[in-house]
Amino acid sequence: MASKRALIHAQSFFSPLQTSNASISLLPRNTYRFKSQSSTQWPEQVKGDDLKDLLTRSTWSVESLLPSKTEARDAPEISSEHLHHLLRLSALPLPENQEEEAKMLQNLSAQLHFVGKMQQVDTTDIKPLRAIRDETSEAEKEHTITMDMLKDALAREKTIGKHYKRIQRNTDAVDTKDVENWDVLGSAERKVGRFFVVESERPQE
Amino acid sequence: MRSILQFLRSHPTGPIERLDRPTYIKDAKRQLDRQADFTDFNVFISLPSRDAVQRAARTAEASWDKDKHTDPFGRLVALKDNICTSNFPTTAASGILKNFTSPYEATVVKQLRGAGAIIAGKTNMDEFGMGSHSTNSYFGRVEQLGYEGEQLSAGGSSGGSAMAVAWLQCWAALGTDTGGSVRLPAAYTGVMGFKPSYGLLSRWGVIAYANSLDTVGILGSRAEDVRAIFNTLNVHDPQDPTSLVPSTRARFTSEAHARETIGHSSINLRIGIPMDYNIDTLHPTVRKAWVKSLRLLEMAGCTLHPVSLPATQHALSTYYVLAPAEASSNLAKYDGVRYGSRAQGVDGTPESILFAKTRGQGFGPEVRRRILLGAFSLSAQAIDNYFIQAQKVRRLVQQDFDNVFSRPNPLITASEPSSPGNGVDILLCPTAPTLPPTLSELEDQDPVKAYMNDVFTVPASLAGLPAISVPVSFEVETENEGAIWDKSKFETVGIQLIGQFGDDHLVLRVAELLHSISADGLR
Repeated sequence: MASKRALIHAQSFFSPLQTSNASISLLPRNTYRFKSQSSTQWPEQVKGDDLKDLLTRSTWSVESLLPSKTEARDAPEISSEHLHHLLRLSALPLPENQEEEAKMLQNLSAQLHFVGKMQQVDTTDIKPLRAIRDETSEAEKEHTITMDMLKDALAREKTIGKHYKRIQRNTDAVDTKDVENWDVLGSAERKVGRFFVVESERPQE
Repeated sequence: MRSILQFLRSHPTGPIERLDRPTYIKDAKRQLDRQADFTDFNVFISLPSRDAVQRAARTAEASWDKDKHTDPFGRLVALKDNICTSNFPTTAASGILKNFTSPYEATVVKQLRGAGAIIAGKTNMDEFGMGSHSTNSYFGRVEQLGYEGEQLSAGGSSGGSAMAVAWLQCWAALGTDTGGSVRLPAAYTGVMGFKPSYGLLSRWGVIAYANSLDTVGILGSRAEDVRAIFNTLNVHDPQDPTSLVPSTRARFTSEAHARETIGHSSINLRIGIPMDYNIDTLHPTVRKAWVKSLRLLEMAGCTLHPVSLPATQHALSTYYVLAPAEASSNLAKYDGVRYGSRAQGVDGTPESILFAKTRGQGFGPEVRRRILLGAFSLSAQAIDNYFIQAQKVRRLVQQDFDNVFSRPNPLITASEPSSPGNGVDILLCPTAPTLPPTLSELEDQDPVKAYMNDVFTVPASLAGLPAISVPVSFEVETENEGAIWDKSKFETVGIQLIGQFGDDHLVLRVAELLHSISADGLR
C-alpha cells in the first residue's frame, strides 16, 4: 500500500498533462559553468603506458566537501527554535535534553555544509531537471490531449434543456471493483469496528 | 573488419543458453544449504519454507520444455525487502513496517513469477534504502566475512541481495538503486550489479525513497544472468506513471537499429575515462584495477579517451539535497494508522505533535536525520537555494554526460545534430573509491562522511543513466609498493560502466566482455 500511495503522489507531479505544457529548451552543447579543473585539456586519446601516467595524479579531493577543522563551517546558523520547527514539520519528536539537541544541531550543520557546495554553481538560465522523462517534442505532441482524443467521451454526454443547455448527470453504475474492493482496515494495527483508533491528548480544534 | 561496437550492438540479447537438461532441483538444494550455512551474515529478513522452494524447483524441472523455457525459469531469485510481496512481509528494514505484509505484489515480482522464477526470500538492507553499508537495519546489520576472518561491510543499501548472490544463496537478486545502492554492494561483494536507465523497470509496489531517482536493479554472478532478468522486466507498466511509455521506448530502440545500419565498420568502441573520478582518496588498488580494466579493453580493440565531467564535483551535494527532500515527502505517510506499527500508548500531547512518538520509535537515526534535512531544504526560506538549485545542478550533470557521449540523449530534443565521431560510447570508472571497509571502522564514523562512498555512483543516478558494477579480478600483489594496502585481502574491485540513456544492452555487453577478459587475464 505504501508505494501505491507514493505513485499516486508522483503522478500528480509528473502527469502527461504537465509534459505537454513544459517548454523545451536546451543549452548549446559544451556550455560549461565550472571553474577549477574543467579548464584542463586532456589528450583526445591515450594509449598503452600513457594511461598509468594519466591516472597517477588526482584531479580533486572529495574531502573538500567536508568542513575542515580550522575553517568555519559554511552553513546557515540553525537556532534551537528553528530546529524545533523543522522537527514539528517532520512529525518527529523534539530532543529530550540539551545534549541531544546539541547533537542534532551539529549533525544538521555538518549536512548543510556538505550540501552547501552546490550553491556555488552558476545556474543562471538553467531549467531544473525535476524528473527523468521524455522531453522530446515528439513526446510532447503524443501527450497533448486533443479534442480528437476526447471525441468518444464527449459523444457519450447527454445534454438536456432547451434554453439552458446542460450536461445530464450519468447515473449508470461505474465498475470500480479494481479500485474499491480492498479492505481499508485490513492492515491497520489498532481498530474498533469500522474505525481506526488514534489515542491523542491533543485538544481538538 | 567487424568492429566490437557493431558486434556489441547487433547482439542486444546475447546468445541464449540452451541447456540439455536443467539442474533446477540440484541448484535449489545447494542454494538452500548455503542459506542455512551462513545465517550469521544476516542476509535474509524472511525466507520461504525449504519444502516450498524444493517443491517449486521439482515442478519447474518436471515441466521444463527446451524450446519454451529460458532463464530465469526455475531459478531462485531473492528480493530486497522494499519490494512488495503478498506471501512474505515487506519491511524495508524499518521498525515502522516490522509487521507489515502488503496486500498486493509489485509488478516486477509478478513478472518474475510469470517467467517461472522461484522467489528465494526477502533480503536485508539499509532502512528504506538509506545507507551505504547495510548497517542501518531494524533487523541488524548485514555482515561480510573477509579472508582473514574480519567482518567487512557488504555495501548498501542492497547489501543482503548482493551477499545472497555472492555466497551462492540464490541464482540472482533484485535490489533498488537510488544513488548507488545496487552498484556499491555489488562492488564490495564481487558480483555484477546493474542499474538500468530510469523508467525502464516498473516501480509499482516498490517502496519509494526518492521517487525521481529510484530504480529497480539486478544483481547476478554473470552479465548473461542479469540480462535474462532485465529482458523479463523491461516492459512498460501502466500502473507506474514514471514508467516510460511504448512510444518512447520504440524511439530509442529504432535509433539503435539506425546506428547499426549506418555502420561503425571503421570505428571501434570508444571508451571514455572520466578524469573527474580520479579523486585523491582513491585507493591504490582501485586505481590499479581501473588502469588494468582500461588496458584489457584497449588490447581487445577499444580506444581510450579522457573526458571531463566537471559537474561531478557537485553531484554528491546535489544528491544529498534531492534524495532527503523527496524522502521527507515520501515518508510523511508513515503514521502507523492504516498500516505499519504504532508506538505504545498515547501519541500526541500538547507538547508533542501527533504521530511524533510513533515516527520517533519507528524510524532509525539515519532515516530521521534525512527527513529533517529534507524538511529543511523544502522549507519556504530554503527551497530556492537548496532544492530548486539542486534540480538545476542536476540538469548540468545530465548535460555533462550528453556532452561526452557520441549518442545524443533520446529524452532530449537535440539543438544540433550530434557528431558520432567525437564522443565516447561508454564511460569506465571505479564503482567506489575504496575496498570494503571493516564494520568496526564504520562504528564511530561521522554520518556525513559515509555519504562520500557514493561519489562515483550518484552522477549516473542523477542523469538516470544505465550503469553496472563489474567485478574485475586483479593479480594478488607480491611486491611491496610502500605497504599502503593489504596485499592479499581482496580479489576483485568493482569497475563501473556507464552508458547513454537507453544504451542498457550496450552496457551489459561491455560488462560481459570486461568480465570475461579480466578473468582470462588471471589464467
